[in-house]
Amino acid sequence: MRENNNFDKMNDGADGKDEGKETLLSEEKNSAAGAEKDCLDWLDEEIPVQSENGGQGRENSAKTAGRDKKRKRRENPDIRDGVRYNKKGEVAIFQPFTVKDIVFLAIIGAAALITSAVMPLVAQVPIFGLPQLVTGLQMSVFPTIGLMKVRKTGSVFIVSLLVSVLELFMAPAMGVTSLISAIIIEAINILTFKGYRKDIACFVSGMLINPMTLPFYYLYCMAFETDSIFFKAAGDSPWVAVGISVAVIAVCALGAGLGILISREIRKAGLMKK
Amino acid sequence: MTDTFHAKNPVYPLFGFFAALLIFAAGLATAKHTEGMWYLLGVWVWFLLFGYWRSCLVIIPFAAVFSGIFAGITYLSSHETAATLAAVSRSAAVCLAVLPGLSLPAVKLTRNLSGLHVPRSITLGMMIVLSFAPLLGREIKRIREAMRTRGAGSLLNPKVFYRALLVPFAARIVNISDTLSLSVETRGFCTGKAPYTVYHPVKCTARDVIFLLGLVAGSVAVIVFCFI
Repeated sequence: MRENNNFDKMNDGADGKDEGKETLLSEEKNSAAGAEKDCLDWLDEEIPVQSENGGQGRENSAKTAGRDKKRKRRENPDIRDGVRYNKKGEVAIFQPFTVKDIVFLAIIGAAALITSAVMPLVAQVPIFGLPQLVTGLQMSVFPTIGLMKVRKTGSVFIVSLLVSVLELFMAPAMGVTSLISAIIIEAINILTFKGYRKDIACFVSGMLINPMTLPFYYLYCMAFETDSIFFKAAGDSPWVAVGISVAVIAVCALGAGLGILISREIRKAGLMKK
Repeated sequence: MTDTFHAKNPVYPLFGFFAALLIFAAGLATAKHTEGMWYLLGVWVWFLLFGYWRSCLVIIPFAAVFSGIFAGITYLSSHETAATLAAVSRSAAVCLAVLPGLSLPAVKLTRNLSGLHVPRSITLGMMIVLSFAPLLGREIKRIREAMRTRGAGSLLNPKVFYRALLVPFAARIVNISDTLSLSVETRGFCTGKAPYTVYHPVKCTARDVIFLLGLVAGSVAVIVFCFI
């Protein structure tokens, strides 16, 4: 059994008692360390299942880890140094995601979400596509930065999935349209660029994230909310709706370009490795 | 999800999610009817009875402002009282639908999904999004304070916006993610199929079932009453 010195201190407060729980200073609570601690307390609570050899302790963990790695390499000959190859020996389209990739994409999703917090302010203005226009820059810059670092098929879907978890609580229609458009963007990328190895693939996918939700949101309003202000706005002035849609694509293209420039700058500074 | 909204004993997380969808759907469907308003009031009281009193009280001013803005815009564009009342009902439905999610601590949702053997990469990602979204908001404020201190200029200037806000924020994101991923890997977390158990499993209780059944019954009743 893995030692866990925080066992005695752990109390999730489900029973309303905070006894024994390590109290955070107000400064620490507000800092990245505080958020990290909250997040990682959950990981500390998980108890690993005891291994077959009865838990030999940490001394043998390096040996078993080495043996496990060799066994995995024998069982999965197509994965070398974390990169999956197909039967022809080429780099496969679908690559496994590492913990680092998931963490980065999650933080990218959080950044896109928090910077799009202005959307509820304009959501009630009866102009079709205005919320997408207002959030277009943020929803293209950050996912493009994510794609430039994690160049794996499925990255856009993971970012959209994590963002739509919150959107499903607030606006289920938007959450579902985000997921559907992410799947379509991944399909477009697989068919045209076969992965995100090229910067142009990252640009195109980053550019399409927000505009792709427009037709699906229109279809949703047509099916379920025919008296919504968006549907009426699109019907009353279709050319305004078309103009706004073109503006959304332009803003998202600008955002995707900015994302590529920013990631190249950060890479030059040595902060981000490809 | 801020601590202000967190309930002391929230319902089973997945039930809260279904409740949000149900309230949203039923609220939108009955927005044009007077019974819809009574339904939303009943949902609010139901939440109050099940321990969400803090969230119920805190949501009132937000819902009032949100509904007021929505109603004002609708009245200005349509000049119809019925449409305005329907807009108020819709925005109130959205506010109430958000309540279960806002009141739920992120850890509890993650434990629930881990217990249901949802892929660990998804539970980890969700936990990070829910925990770090408020923190990144504070990081943006800090960057803006640094910009003011250095006299960088207005954010409306594209060069200042790019160089002084976007680039430092992106660099900060990369730093945070590198540190966090190291911490996660140090704790032995892996996305593979390694077996694990949850220290505090989230269990469904009779209270949670009664909560959901009550909401379902109320939603079905109001829809039947309005349309049949």
